[in-house]
Amino acid sequence: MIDKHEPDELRQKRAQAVKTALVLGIIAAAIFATFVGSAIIGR
Amino acid sequence: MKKENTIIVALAVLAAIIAATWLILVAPGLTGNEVNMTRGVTQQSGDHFDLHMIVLWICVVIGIGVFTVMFTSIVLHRKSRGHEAAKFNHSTKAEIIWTIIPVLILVVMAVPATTALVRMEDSSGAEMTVKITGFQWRWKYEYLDEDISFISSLDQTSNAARQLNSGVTPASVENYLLNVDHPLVLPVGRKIKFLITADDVIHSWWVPALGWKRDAIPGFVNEAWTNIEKPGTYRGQCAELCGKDHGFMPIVVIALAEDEYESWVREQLAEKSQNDQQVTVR
Amino acid sequence: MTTQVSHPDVSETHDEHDHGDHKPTGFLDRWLFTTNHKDIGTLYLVFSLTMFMIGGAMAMVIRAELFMPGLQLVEPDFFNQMTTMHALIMVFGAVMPAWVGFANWLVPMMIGAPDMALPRMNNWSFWILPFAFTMLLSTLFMDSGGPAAGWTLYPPLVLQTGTSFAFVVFAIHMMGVSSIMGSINIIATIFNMRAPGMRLLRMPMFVWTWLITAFLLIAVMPVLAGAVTMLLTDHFFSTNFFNAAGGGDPVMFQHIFWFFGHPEVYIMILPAFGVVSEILPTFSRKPLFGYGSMVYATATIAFLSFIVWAHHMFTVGMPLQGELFFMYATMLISVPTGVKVFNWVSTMWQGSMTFETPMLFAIGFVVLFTIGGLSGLMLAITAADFQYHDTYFVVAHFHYVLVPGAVFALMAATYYWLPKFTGNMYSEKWGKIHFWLSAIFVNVLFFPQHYLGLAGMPRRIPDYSPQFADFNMISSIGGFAFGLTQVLFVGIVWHCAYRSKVKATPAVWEGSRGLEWTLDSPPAYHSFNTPPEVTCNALSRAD
Repeated sequence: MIDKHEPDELRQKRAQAVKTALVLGIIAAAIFATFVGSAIIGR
Repeated sequence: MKKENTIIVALAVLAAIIAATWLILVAPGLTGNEVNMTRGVTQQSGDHFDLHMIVLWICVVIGIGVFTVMFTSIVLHRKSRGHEAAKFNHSTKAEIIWTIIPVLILVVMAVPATTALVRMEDSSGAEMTVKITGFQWRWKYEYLDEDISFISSLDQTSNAARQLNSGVTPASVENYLLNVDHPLVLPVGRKIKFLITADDVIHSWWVPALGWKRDAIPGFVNEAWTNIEKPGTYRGQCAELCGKDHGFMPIVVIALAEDEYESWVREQLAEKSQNDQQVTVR
Repeated sequence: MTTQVSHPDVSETHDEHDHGDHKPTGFLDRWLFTTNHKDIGTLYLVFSLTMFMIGGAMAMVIRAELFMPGLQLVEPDFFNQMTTMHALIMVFGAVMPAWVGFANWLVPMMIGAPDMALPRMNNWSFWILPFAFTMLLSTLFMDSGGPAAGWTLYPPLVLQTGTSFAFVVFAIHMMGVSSIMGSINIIATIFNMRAPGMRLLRMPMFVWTWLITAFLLIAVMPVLAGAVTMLLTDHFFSTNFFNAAGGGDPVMFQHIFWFFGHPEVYIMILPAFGVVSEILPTFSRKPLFGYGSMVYATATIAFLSFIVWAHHMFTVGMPLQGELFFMYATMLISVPTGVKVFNWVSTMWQGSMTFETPMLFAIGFVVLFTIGGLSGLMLAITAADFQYHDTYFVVAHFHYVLVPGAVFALMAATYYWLPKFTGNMYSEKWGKIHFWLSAIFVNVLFFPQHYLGLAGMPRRIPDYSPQFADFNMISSIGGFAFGLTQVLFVGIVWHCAYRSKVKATPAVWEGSRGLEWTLDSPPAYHSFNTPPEVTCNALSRAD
C-alpha cells in the first residue's frame, strides 16, 4: 500500500489533508452532539 | 452583427414567447377545466387571490424577459450563422443593476404580502367559535357557543365507490370524494373563530373558498378565523398526509343567511334534547 | 491561453515506470477494494442510474393510479409507500450519489490532483450505499410494508410505521455517514491537493459549487441524523420529543427536519449550477460571464439556505413575526439565483453557439429551472402559500427544479464528460432524440400539476374528485412517455461505453477549457501523478 515512488510534496499534501479531514469530522460530530444535546436539555 | 437585426429578431422572438405564454396560461382554462386559484367568498380569499395574481404576473413578465433574450441569442449568435464569439467576460455595472432591480421588485411584492398576512392573523372580535378536531380519518365539529357537536365523515356513496375495484365510476357519484354526512353549517356575515386541533396525527383543515388552510396538531390548538360573504356550499379536503385515508376525509361548509342559520341551530338543539330525553326514558 | 505549461500525462510518450495505467486485476480487487477516484466515481454513477430507474418505476405506479379517478391498481396505504419511497430513493439514492460520482471523477482532474485526499475513506463512502439501499428497499417486502409517512417523516404519523421503521432510520443514518465522509474528502482534497498555480479563484465552477455543497452537507446531515434518532427513541425508548402528551412538540420535528431539508435541496442543485457554468462557455466558445459574481452568488445562496427553512411550514401556526421573517428571507434567495441566470444568459449572448446534446440539456436547464424558481417565488409569499401549501402546485414547483433542473444537469454532465471518461463518443443523433423527448414530456408531465394545485387538488392522495381528471390524465401520459424515454438514456450510455466505435480526442469539444481536457480520453488510471502548472482561470479566460 505504501508508494515508495510518491514524491515528498504529495505526501506532505496528503498529510495536511488528513488533518483537514479530522477537523471537519470533529465539526460534524460536534454539530450532531450540540443538536441532540440541546434538544434533550431544552426539553 | 447589425443592431437593427438584433432588435427585429428580438421582437419576433418576443411575439412567439408571448403566444406560447398565452397558450400555456390561458388556453387550458378554455377547456372548461379549472386552472387558477378561486377568488373565494371571503375577504381573505380575495386578498390571497389578488396577491397570487400580482406575483404571477410579475413572474410571467420576468420569465418572458429572460427567455426573449435567451432565444434571441440562440437564433442569432450561432456558429452556423457565422457569428463570431465576443470575448467579454464580466461587467460590474451589469451585476449591480441586475442585483438592485430584483431587490426593488421584491420590495414591491413584499408590501401587499405583508398586509395580507397581518390581516389574516387578527382573530379578535369573533362573534362565535367553532372547535375543529382532526381524527384518522374524519373531522369533528363543536360549536362552543351552543351545545352542538358532531362528526363529519366521507359520505357513504363516495366511500363505497372509492374502494379498490369497486366497479362504480366516480363520475356517477355526485361530489365524489367531496361530500360528507354532516356538513359544517355556518352563518354568513359573522366573524367566526376556529380552534383547530387533532386527536392522533397532524391533519390540516382546508376550504379553498375560505382562502386558507391551518394545520391540526395533536396537543396544540391553532387559531384561525373567517367571515363568509356569500351563502353557498364550499368543499375542501384534508391537506396534511395523515395515513391511508388522508384523501378520504373531506370538508363541506354550508354557509346560510343569518335567519336560516338560526333556524338550523334551533333544529339541532331540539333534535339533541329529543335524543337526550329518549336516552333517559330508556 | 493554455492552462498548463508542460504535461507529462498526455500520452505521446510514456514514462518508463508507467504507473499511469495499471488497473488492479481481479473483479473484487478492482471494484470492491478500489481506492481510485475514477473507479469510485463510476461505481457511484452506475449505482445512481440504477436507483433512478427504481425510483422512476415507483413514479410510474403513482402516475398509473392517478391516471383516472377511482382506485384501480393499489390500496391507499401502498400508494403512500410509493410516494414515500419514490422521494427517498430519488433524493438519497439517485441525485445525491450521482453528484458525488461526478465529483469523484472530476474534482481531482480539474484541480490537477492525482486522487482524492483520503482514497480509502472514499471507498467506504461508496460501499455503504448499496447496503443502506438494500435495507431501505427491503422494507417494501416486510409485513407492514415500507414507510408511508412521506419522505419528510413527520411524527406522530411516522411513529405509526410498523416493522420497517427501524430499518428506515438505520438506512438514513448510513446514507448520512456516507455523505459526511464524502464531503470531508472533497473539502480536504480541494483545500490541500490543488496543483501549483490553481488558486481558489482560478478553480472551475464545478469545483467551487462542490466545495460549497460539501460544507452544506457537513452542516446539515448530522442534523438529519439527530432528527431521525429522536424519532427512533420516541418510538422505542419512551422519549417524548415529538409527543405532546409527554410534553413534547410534533412541530419541533418539522423545524429540525427542514433545517436539514432546505439546505438539502440546495445540495442537490448547486453542483447542477456548476455543471451549467462549465457547459455554456464551452459551446458558446466564450468565457463564463461574471466568474467572481458566480462564486459569490453561490456562497450567498448557500448562506441564505440556512435561514429559510420554515417556508415549508407556513401553515403550522407560527407567530406572525416568524412568518414574516421567513417570507422575506425566502424572497431574498431569488436575488443571487437571478444573478446566476443573468450571468448564464450573458455567457451565451454574442457567443458562437453550437447545440450538441450537452448544450441542449444545459439550455433546457436554464429555461425550465427558471420556471421552477419563479413558482418558488410565488410559494414564498406566505399568505398566498396558505392556498398553495400541500397541493400539487408545490409538487409541480419542486419537480421542475429537480427534474428539468438537477436531473437535466446530470444528463448534461453525462453527455459532456462521458467521452472523456470512456474515450468514446456517444451517438449524437440518439442524444438529441433523448433530449427532445425528455424536454417535451417533462413539461407534459409536470406543467398541468400547477393547474391541479391551483384548482384545489391536495398532495399525497391516491384518488381525486373528477374535476381534476383531465389534467391528471395528461400528466400521467407525460409521465409514462418521460419514463420510457429514460430507458433510451440507459441504452445511449451503455452503447457509448461498450459499443461506440468513434474515438474521443483529449479535448473532445472544440471550446472546452480546463485541466480535465488536457488528459487523454479516457485518462490514465492514475493521472496527474506530476501536478501541472496552472497560469490562469480557464473558465473565465482571465487571470
